[in-house]
Amino acid sequence: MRLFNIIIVATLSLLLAACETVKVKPEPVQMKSSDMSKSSLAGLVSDLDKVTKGRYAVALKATDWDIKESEGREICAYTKVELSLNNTYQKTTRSGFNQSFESVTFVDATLSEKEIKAGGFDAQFVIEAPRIAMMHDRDRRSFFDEPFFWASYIKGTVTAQSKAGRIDQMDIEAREKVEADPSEGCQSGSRIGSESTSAAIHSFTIEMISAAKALLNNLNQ
Amino acid sequence: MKKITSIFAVGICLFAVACAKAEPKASTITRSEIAAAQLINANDDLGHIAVYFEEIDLKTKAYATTYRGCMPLVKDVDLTAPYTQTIRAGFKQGFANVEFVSAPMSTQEMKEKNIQAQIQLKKPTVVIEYRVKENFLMTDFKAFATLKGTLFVNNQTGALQQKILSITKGDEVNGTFIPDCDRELAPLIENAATEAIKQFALKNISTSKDIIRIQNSQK
Repeated sequence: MRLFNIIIVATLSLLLAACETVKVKPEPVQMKSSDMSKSSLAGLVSDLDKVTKGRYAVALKATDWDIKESEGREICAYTKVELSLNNTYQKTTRSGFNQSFESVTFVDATLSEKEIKAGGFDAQFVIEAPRIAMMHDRDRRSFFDEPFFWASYIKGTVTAQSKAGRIDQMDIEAREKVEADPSEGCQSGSRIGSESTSAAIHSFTIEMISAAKALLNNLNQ
Repeated sequence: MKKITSIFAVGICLFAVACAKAEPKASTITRSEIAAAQLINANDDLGHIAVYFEEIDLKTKAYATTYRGCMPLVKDVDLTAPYTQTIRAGFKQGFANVEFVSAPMSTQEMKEKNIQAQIQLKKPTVVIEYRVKENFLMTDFKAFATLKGTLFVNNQTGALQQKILSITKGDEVNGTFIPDCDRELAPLIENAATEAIKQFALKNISTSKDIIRIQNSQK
């Protein structure tokens, strides 16, 4: 009977150990003007690292990136993944706009041309709800090693509208991948997940600001 | 001794298979293919166009999404030459007056040389993968090649447009009995990569033309 109890307790302990939770909750990144040199538009748009004069409205569409999922059985069986990314995204992107434009007002809904004029804005930027995709897997290219990796990909659209009513748009994207040594096991998920998503949000913000500046330049031609 | 020799021979064979190459080829792109891929199919006289390629090294490794059925083959795939040749030949077909430049030009340089638009292609990302699926005695093979990159087009006024372009192409062979994995996969990877390069080039050329026409209409 005692042996039976020990087996039950041991099995439950093993199950509890197996049901680990990967918590991905990256800290918001404070943008720096030097970050703009990493933009895909660096060299194509002038003064990316300088503050753009004028008043701008920014409609930053909400994201639904606070997600709870179960990990696929193939990599980390019975692992729960908790993603908390909405706050990181909002704070990082707001910091990016405040850093790069002289005067920024974040608006809850897209302004009409009339409202842009009435608000005294030079232009409005609309950041269409970006989509995020992630992959937590093992890199099969190195057969004898197979490191864990977490890859994050964000895609979205920036639309600019001038007070004169001209509109232009650009698609933007960012991807970042972080690896972990196989010896770290599935527990590395929280770390590499947070690092990868944080880096992707940061890169996406750089692309967003660059695109906004490029579009503004287009509208002013 | 005989045993050691056999193990050595098997090892050499496995190594040779694991390091096998797939060699995609350059493609010819016709004017009619470009015209068919364009959104705005009119007015082909777009003036003097400059094209800048980022220095490209597109060597990659094909990898398996599953190991089932075959040992893990690592295939070296070098897309550099076919990509460069296909893009160059394609842009020459697509534009009446095109010049390949070794560095991006400023708007001032464009004005001085009377270049109407500058097209810039950054190095694309390449992913090549294959899948092997066993169905009792038969085996199915699939290979996929994906090219993804960003196209930039600017004109003399400094107006800039960018487009993210992505193409995935695949090839497959099904129902192979007692397969030689390497022999089956190599041509599939080559075909997928060759077609992906061609379609990626075609998309870049036709999209560039569309953007230039739109930019010209806004002058």
